[in-house]
Parts: sequence; C-alpha cells; structure tokens
Amino acid sequence: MGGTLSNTVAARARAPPACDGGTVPRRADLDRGGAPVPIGKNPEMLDEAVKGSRDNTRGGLRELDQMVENRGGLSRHVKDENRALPRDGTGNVRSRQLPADGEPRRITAYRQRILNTQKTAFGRQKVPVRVRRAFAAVFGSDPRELVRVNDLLADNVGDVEALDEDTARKVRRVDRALRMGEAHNAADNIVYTPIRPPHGVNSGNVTGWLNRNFGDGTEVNFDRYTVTSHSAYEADGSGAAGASWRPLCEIVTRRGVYVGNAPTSKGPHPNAGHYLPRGMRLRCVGVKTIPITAPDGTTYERTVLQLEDLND
Amino acid sequence: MTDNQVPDPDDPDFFAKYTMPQAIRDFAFGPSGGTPPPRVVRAVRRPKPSGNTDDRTRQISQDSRRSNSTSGLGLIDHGGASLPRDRRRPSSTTDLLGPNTGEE
Repeated sequence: MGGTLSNTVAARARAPPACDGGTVPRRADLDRGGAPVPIGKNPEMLDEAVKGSRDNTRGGLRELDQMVENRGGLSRHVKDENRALPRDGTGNVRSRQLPADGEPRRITAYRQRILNTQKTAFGRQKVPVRVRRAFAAVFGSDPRELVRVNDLLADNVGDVEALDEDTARKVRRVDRALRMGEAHNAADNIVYTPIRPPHGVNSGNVTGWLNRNFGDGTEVNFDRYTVTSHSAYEADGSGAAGASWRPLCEIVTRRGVYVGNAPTSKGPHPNAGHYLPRGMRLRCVGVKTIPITAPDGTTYERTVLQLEDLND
Repeated sequence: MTDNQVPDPDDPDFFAKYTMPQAIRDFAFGPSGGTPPPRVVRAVRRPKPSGNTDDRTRQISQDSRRSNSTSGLGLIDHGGASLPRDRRRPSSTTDLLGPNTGEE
C-alpha cells in the first residue's frame, strides 16, 4: 500500500499544478484524488487523454459485467463473484426528488426512523461471518484500511480483478455486505459528502469551476466506497470544519446502506451515516446554493453539486 | 456502545449493532470544530468505612478530601494544550499519507 500511495504522491509532485487555464486540455475527475487530508471527495484535473482512457476502461468493465450477466448456467453468486463492478442490490425503491432550491436541508426524526427500520431489517438477516469480518476490517475504527482499499480501487479504475488476491477477496465481501443491506432500501436516499476542490479553486471561482466541469448531464463515477450522510450539516463537518465555501455533493440515489443511529426522543441523532458502494455511476443535475439548517435551528448556505443515479 | 467502537464481527448481530465509527466520520467529513468540553474525571467510588480503618483506607479518605476541595464534584481535567490537536483526526492517518503535498 505504501508503494502505491507514495507513487501517487510522487506523480502528483511531478505533475503541473492541477488548475484550469493550462495549455493542456484538462477535465475534472471528481473521485480521482487521494486523501492528503481527511475530507470526502478530492477531485483532480486530468489530461483529456487520461480522463478519456479511464472512462473507456470503465465502459469496458461494464460491458464485461453485462456479458457475465447474460451468460447462462451460472448461479447468482458465481455471477457476482465474476463481476468487476458490484451489482445494484436494491429492489423496489420509491422514487424521491431533490428538495427545492430554497428548502432548508435537515434530516428529520421521521426520515431517520425509516432508515433505522431498514437497518434493523438488515441486522436480522444472516450474513456470513467472513463478510462481516471484511466489512469490519474496511469500515472499522481505523480509516487506514478504507484509505488503502479506496486508493487501490481509484488507481485501477474500480477493476477488482486488478487488485491483489487478498484485497480483491475483501472488496468482494464488502460489496456483498452492501448489496445485502441495500436490498432493504425502501426509498431513494438523499445523501451528502464534502468536496475538496483542487489547488487553484477558491471562494471566488468555485461555482464557475463546478459549472465548467460538472455541467448538467455530465457523467460522474465513484470508483471508491463513499462515506456520506443523510444530514448535510454532518457532512459539512458539523458546520465548523474547513472553509465555508467548500462545496458538497447532494446525491439522490437508491444505492447504499444506512449506518447511522436511530433518532432520540429529542430529535434526529447526529450520526446519519450512509455508505455508498464502489462503482457508482451518477449524472450531474445542477450546481446550486442551498440553505442548511443546523440542529440549533440556525441556517447557513452552501454550494452543492447535485447528482442522481445514471441508469443504463 | 459508543460510536468509536465497532462490534465484534463474529457476533451474528454485527450489522444490527454497527454504526459509523467516529474515526470514519471525522475522516470523511472533518472533525467537528470547537474546543471540546472539559473532561470530568469522576472520583472513584470507595467502599464505606466499616470500622476497620487500616492505612490504605485513611490514604483514600485524604485523597477524596483533597479532590473535593479542588472542584466540589471531582477533578476537572481540561486536557491542557493537547486536546485541540487530538480532536483534528487520528495522527496515524497523517503518518500513512505523508506530509501535506501542498494541494491546500
């Protein structure tokens, strides 16, 4: 792992500053960057050719997965084991819309109760112990394993076959856990994760940067597992960490598993976590400035990049 | 079980008990800001003297009086200068990822 990370850091050091306005055409990849500091998504500006190559590789992996699905005589489990990207495990999910632009974002105890009911149903399900162990290793108390796995996935454009055997086995087991969990999803999730824009983007040009690179209809891929929250306030570092101009992703998706708490008698619990699987394919639907309501009732504004599931 | 603890994966109820650990939360969203409240170290509950006051019991009683005279309810540990630094994030992540690459 150290080698991969150090190679990535060294490559970044050699590369020209990742910002707009260079002579080489560059395109933003929302999920390419590693985590030099801990904050959600770290977009990187990639050369046009590199970005195109990565997009083509993902397209090829999806075609291979489709061939696996179409092949007869294989059990569901064998097909899942031979896919490069995890299968969508959701069933009938009620569609939800993103809130209106001026509607303050806050999680309600009602919504959290529904999510916790889904979590309870998943908790009753029998999950193999190896799957539980792999999940606990990746999403345990120490985020280093999550960093390692995520960086490997990003380096290999999400292709699990390109990982070493032990890591690939672990990734498949985590995929299985998330797939089993998302089978209990009853409605679309609206979740948030912060974005750390690349060097050169600041409070003055962040909206323009988002609009230029993530215009409506732009496809965005998450090769990594993504930690999100149903609470915009929680995803924003509880309103206190980082610069106030840093944007958030606001994602409406049927995918992923709720890993937060149940609401309390006083209202929603501050932990409204939600894990999204790797291999997410999303579409940009807008860049907006939205109000967020903190638990104390105060409201402040943040810029969000709105994303939704991109179906084949 | 606190947010910092991950249940034993060998427990069949693992997923029922699992919630996103604080370390992952801080890693993904950044730590919640501000100075943490002072940590209150409660005085250790001591058995009532039962008439047999040996040297050890007398020593505990003296400690108890000293601690009560300091705070009334127990010792208040403000954590000194180390607390805000500890709240940023696990230092092990910094070790893993190496020095800041100057992207921020």
